Amino acid sequence: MNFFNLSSPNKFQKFSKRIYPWVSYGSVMFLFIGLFFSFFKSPPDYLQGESVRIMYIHVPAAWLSLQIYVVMAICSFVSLVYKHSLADIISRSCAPIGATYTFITLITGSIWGKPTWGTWWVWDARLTSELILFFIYIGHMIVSNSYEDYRKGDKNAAILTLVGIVNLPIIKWSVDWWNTLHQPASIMKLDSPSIDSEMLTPLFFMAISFFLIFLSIMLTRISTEIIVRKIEIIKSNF
Amino acid sequence: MKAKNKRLVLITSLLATFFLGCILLFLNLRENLIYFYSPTEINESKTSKTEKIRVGGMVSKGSVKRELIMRDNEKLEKINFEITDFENSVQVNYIGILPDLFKEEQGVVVEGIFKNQIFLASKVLAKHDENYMPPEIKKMQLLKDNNDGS
Amino acid sequence: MENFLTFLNSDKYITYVCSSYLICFFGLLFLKISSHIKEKKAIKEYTDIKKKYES
Repeated sequence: MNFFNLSSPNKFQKFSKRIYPWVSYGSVMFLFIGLFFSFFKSPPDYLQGESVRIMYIHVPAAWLSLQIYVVMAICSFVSLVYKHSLADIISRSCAPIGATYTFITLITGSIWGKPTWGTWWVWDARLTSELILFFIYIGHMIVSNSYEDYRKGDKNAAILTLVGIVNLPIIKWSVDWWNTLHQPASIMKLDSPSIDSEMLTPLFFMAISFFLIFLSIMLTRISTEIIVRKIEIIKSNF
Repeated sequence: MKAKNKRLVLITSLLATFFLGCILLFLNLRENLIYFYSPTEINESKTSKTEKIRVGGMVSKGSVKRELIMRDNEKLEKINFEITDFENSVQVNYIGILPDLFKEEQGVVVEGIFKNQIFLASKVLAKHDENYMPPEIKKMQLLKDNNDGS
Repeated sequence: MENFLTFLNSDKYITYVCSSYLICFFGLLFLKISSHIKEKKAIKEYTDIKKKYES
């Protein structure tokens, strides 16, 4: 298997067909392991009590909402500079998945905030910047689909994605730069994580599962997009 | 230069300029994005004391006093407590229901106005820290701290 | 198991936790299913259009 060949849509299609079942079954398997650990093995938190269990989906969803954006930003750069069609296709397939994960992050965070902070929503830097990320994803979906010529949509959506990168460091470090109601990072910090290992395990499995779910949905959407473009080419040739 | 390389230089330099602009803008706006102030910042009166503001810090140990009052034929709880950042502190008055996580020596953010050096809160939010652990381990930690202290 | 039983007895938090898990999984399931439906539609259109232009 030569990985450089993957940049050709047909080769990618074949490769994706081969790994799709593994990714799909893997995501379900890890999901069940994660659910088992988060409901049966994890103890309640000393302060938050049982609502700590919401964290096991909130945090992985938040990680993915950022990671998917990084993927899209790289693809947008490649598409603008090298005019590579697969980069556009990946970017277009990722946007709805990123939007869904951001939505999940916002909703679960809000549900967690009610019993913990005593409010559904506050306009602090972390929550606001995550909401802006959601709007950027929605904007990407609207822009990329609002032109008759899909190439134009791809180009403008890529520009939007690159401009929107500014938001990423703001989300990541907002809790350190400003006084926010949202707590600072527990795992992604330089010294050891401040989460007990019994609570880290479900988080870890859920994160793997969410990543595989993202991959499996992305593969489906990419293959759909390749077929749609083939149809466009056939139509324009006649 | 090939068209491809031209685009690479153009897009990279455009992005670099854009992000530099954003960083400059951000450094200037940073102060305005503060969600709450610490008691020390209040003391140095970085803020106007007539507007609605938010103050955040720890609830001082042993400072919470509760009393029941009657207002509009309704029994309400009036809570007095002190918020501290271990340098300065602010006295807070609040009537209403506290969030479950409100405890002494835990973080809170209160929203309201100052009146005669006392902060009248209209909203109290509990702030959670970045530590997650089971209750047994917390108990053990507390025991250990007590032993070290004595 | 013990943790799960204490969770079931925490009548106050159970609605918060369950609703957030349900919203999360229904959201992902919806995206997954709608992506598959879109793929099926695209494949059908592709085979139709190929037949049409090849004949």
